[in-house]
Amino acid sequence: MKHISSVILLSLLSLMVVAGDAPEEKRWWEKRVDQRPALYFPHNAHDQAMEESGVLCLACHPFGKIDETDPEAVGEMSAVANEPLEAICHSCHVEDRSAPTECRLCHPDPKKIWPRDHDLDYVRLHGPDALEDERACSSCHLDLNYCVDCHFRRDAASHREHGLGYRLSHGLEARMDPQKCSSCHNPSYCFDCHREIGP
Amino acid sequence: MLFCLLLATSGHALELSSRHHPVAVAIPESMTLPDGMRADDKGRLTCATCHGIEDLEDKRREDIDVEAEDFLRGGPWKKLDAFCFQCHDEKPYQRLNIHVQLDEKGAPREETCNYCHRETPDREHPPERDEVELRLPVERICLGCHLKTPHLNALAHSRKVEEKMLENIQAAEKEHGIILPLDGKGHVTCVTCHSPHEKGVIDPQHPAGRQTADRGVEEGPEYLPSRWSPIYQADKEERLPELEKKLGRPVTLQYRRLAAEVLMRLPARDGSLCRACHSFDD
Repeated sequence: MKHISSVILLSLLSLMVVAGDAPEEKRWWEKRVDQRPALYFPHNAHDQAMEESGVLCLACHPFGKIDETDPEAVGEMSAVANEPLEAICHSCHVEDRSAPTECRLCHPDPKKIWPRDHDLDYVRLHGPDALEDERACSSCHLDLNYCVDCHFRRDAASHREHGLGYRLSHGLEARMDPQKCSSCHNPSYCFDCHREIGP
Repeated sequence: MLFCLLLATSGHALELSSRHHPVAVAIPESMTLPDGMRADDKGRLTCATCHGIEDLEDKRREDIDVEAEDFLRGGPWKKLDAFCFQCHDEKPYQRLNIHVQLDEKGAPREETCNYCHRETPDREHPPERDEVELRLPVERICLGCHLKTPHLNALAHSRKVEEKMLENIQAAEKEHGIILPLDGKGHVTCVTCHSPHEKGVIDPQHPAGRQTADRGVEEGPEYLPSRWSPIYQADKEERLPELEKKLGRPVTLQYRRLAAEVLMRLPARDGSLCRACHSFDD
């Protein structure tokens, strides 16, 4: 009997210890952060920029008056009201580019935001898509250098847009379809040479 | 004064609930009916005056859609009493704003003090925090007038603060010379962020009296349109339909810039109030 009592006492004590160590239940916004681990938002880093633009905490986390009285419904509404998504972040980081545009700053793992067709071989196969709808590319690749870094490389034969010696023969293509040139080159690129040596 | 819209059925004619607005009463000369509402040729209120349905009294209950949005003229009405106040003066029906605590001479109106306090505190010798005797526990006393969810995020904040946050709160109290009182269990509550006292009731140099009051209590806070509003609404577009489906009613979430605050312990519009509790590693 004494043995059984000790076992029960020990069990209760261990339960209490476990309960005491149990972490406090996470708040709803902490759970949401767990669901979006690939998104990084440094609050402190935004302080100064947001203060200058007059947009502060309440812009993303509004405390506006509501008529809703059902606590459960208010919880649901608060969750939606409180969580900035793409439109808010991208308004500065993509649309008006008043904030840094490097994707990796906020999306440390770019694979989480890559389109599905951006698989391993897409680097080789992207050409037709880019020709068909360049805007689709530039909706993420904001900086033209993303294209130029490869296409203008001169230290690797595989990435060259134009073959060796193209400089000598480019005039024909330029006369046939000048628009094609201008998809990468701006007019000053032509003038840099033609201004001096003529047509 | 609210209408009871439930109409009892009895054969052909409709019987009105005892709480229904009287019909066939003469409309006083002092009352002006809003556009679209008409009295009968003897100047009396009829069913059609409010409901816009002719001969409503002769119709069968089954033939009337009391759920129709315009069953009360001009509907749908978000607040039913807004319909009533088209004809009736709203002021006599308004609840006393107990936060308007000073009279014209700047003296406290005792009846407003006693609304929450068991005894009017001595203004010259204000009681310590634990000496204040309220009629209800501090975490419940606001809810009698203000509904449980007066604004977004209110409920989400009604939680016990962690140790780190408590340190932040204490540091903010010291830095700003204010109080950010928690309830008896260490939970954030209404008065943690909001001062219940009109500016000037408590000595503004006293931590309990220091507050953000850009406007008078009767004016309330001011919200202005913002260039951020369309961005905010675009941000919510994707999730609102899902939420509306879940709640079974339309939901509007909008951003308006908080331009003036009142009865706040620290300003919220520049984030100072938020930062009193919340800190971030980066």
